[in-house]
Amino acid sequence: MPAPRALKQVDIMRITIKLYSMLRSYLGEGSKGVAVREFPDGTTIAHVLTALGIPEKIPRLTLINGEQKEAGDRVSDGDVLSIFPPMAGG
Amino acid sequence: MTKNVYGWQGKILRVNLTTKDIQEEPLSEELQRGYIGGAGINARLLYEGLKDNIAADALSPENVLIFGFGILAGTTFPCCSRFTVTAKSPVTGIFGDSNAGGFFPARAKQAGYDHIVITGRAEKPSALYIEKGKKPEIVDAADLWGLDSYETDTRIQGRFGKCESARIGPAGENLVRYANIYSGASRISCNGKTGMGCVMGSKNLKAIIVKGTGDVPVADEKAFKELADKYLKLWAGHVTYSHKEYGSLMLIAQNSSQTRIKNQQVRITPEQLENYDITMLVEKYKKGQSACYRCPVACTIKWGVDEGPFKGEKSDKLEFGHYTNMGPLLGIFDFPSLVHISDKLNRLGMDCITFGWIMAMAMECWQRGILTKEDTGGIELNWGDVAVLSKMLDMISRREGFGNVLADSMPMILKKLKPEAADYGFHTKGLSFTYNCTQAVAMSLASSVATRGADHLKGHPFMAMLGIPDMIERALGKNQPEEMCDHASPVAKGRAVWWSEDYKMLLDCLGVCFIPVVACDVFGDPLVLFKELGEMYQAATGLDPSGLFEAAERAYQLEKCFNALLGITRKDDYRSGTRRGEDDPIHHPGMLAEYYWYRGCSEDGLPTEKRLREVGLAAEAGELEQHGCLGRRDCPKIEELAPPQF
Repeated sequence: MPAPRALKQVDIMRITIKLYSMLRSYLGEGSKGVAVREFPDGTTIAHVLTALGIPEKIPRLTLINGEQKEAGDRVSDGDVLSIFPPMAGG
Repeated sequence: MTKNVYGWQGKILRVNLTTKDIQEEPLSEELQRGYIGGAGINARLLYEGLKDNIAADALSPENVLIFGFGILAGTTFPCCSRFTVTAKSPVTGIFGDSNAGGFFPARAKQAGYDHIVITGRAEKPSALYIEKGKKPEIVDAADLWGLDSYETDTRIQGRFGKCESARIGPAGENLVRYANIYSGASRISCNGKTGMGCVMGSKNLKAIIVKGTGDVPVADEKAFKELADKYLKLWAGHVTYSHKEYGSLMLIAQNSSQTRIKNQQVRITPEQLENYDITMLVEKYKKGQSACYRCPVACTIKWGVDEGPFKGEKSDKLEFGHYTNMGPLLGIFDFPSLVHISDKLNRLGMDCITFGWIMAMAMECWQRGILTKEDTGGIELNWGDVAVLSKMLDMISRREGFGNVLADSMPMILKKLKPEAADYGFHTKGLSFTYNCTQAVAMSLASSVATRGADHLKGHPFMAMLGIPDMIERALGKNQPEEMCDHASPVAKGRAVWWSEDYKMLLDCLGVCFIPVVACDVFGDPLVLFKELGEMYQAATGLDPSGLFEAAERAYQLEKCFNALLGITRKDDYRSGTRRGEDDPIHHPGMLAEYYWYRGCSEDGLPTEKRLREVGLAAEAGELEQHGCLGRRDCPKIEELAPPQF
């Protein structure tokens, strides 16, 4: 019987998530809208949103390290992912 | 007497400060149907007042200063206490206007007038006093002259009793070109851009004081109440949660990637941005908030400092405009310093955007040796030096020393400095701008073509910047290019800006606040577009709203006509000043061309005979032709460009 193949090592990333305004509740009570979470390598913004349970229908802007990014963009180890309902004005 | 007196009060107040003549004039049905109200009718009144004397200096008695209160201002509708001030701008020398909220517009409307038109110049410092049921009068303002914008209100309240006022600070009195108008007692509002406070100062007009009471009557009280209740509930809910909590400073986080410091030389670092983390700002510095008349949002946050060198200082009006134009742009990276200089600027009565960009230019010129101590009178314009900024605010407001140089518009200042300074003075048509729009391409276009100069509000193209497909489909029809929702793409942005300009015009005619309406549009919950605004208009006035889109287009075309008479063409629809080596999005081929196509302009950016005739401005087309500034091009009819809006 052949020996079992070793499972592929998955890199784990730690990212800081900042949620603003009404979205803060998705990080739970007491979080103040900031949390550090671990995700596997290859995680996209969409994956993070799903993991947090933020519904599709809520409009949001997503920034990685201050740069506006789209749902399909990947996060990297050490990134700061900010998510908030967009606003217009000045 | 005016026939239509629901929503409108049906009256214009005309005041000649030279002769002291004050007359009431019926608001004609032609104006109501043709230009709606507020900003739209203001545009018509300005055009009529200056078209035969278009070269009149903005600081001369001939300039026409118009206050226009929205149709819904003073009614029971929530979030509708807005007004527009319009005149020839002393900053740009072209069309100028500025919109603000608070309590003043509601009370002014309740005092009995839709518009106040002011010409001439008072012999000595004066104020205009308007009380409901009494004849308006010009009163002496010697005791107010010299007071800052807050002290003025305190003195006015003491002298006249509980009232609202629109007033200028020392900057307006001393004719700082970008002086603004402040109003409100409990809730401060500013008519910030285009120097309307300077126009008041040039007329020796310190304040307009109003005492108004009683709701403005509406045509269909039942329908109006249902709509008012519906929108009160909506606008008090989740759609404006961010505004209620953070005010406009939420935009700091949203625009962080675009923030460049020290006259946009380099990108802000994450460490520098941490000093403006909005969650921290709210926790540490938020002391309260204030609301406009009948507004549940209360988006004006009151900020205060409890420790450090600026302990005890506060600013009741510190918006994104203050941050983005007086913060990192000037090398200021701590919030208490920003509170200090913002409050001083507010009290002196100047536009934060124009001041910020002018100082940024001067500071970069200092950095590069283009300005020396000989020019500045010994003042060292080092980045981030709060004491220097504070001193310059004082000197500019008094037009003292080097402050006198910087008290003019950017183009005027640049003419006085060495030629190399021009690369560092950012403006469009003489006016400066809030956003760094290298990435926000639609905003770059909007600011380049706005009638009043560099601007983020005349036609805020948020549906293209934020990507709101439902709104785009209703506004412009199905099958719009996908790139419309890509904030970095130039595709289809011209049409977005055109529609957005007409949309904002209607908001400013009705007096509806941009904040809750946009918040609804962002959430799509519901969309508040021409149809929904038309329902409010119909319930208020009793009139059919189907002509509102054309009326908004007509009013905007008239602003373009005013500028055409003053020589504004395509050559002016660009940003001057340094581009820091990045391509200015306005140069994307086709973007400006598309806007001109949708706006019915010639390739040279002039209003065309065809579009003007289509919206009932044939006489104005003739006037432009006489001046040699009528555009010649076939252009599409409006109905070919967008689906029915109602």
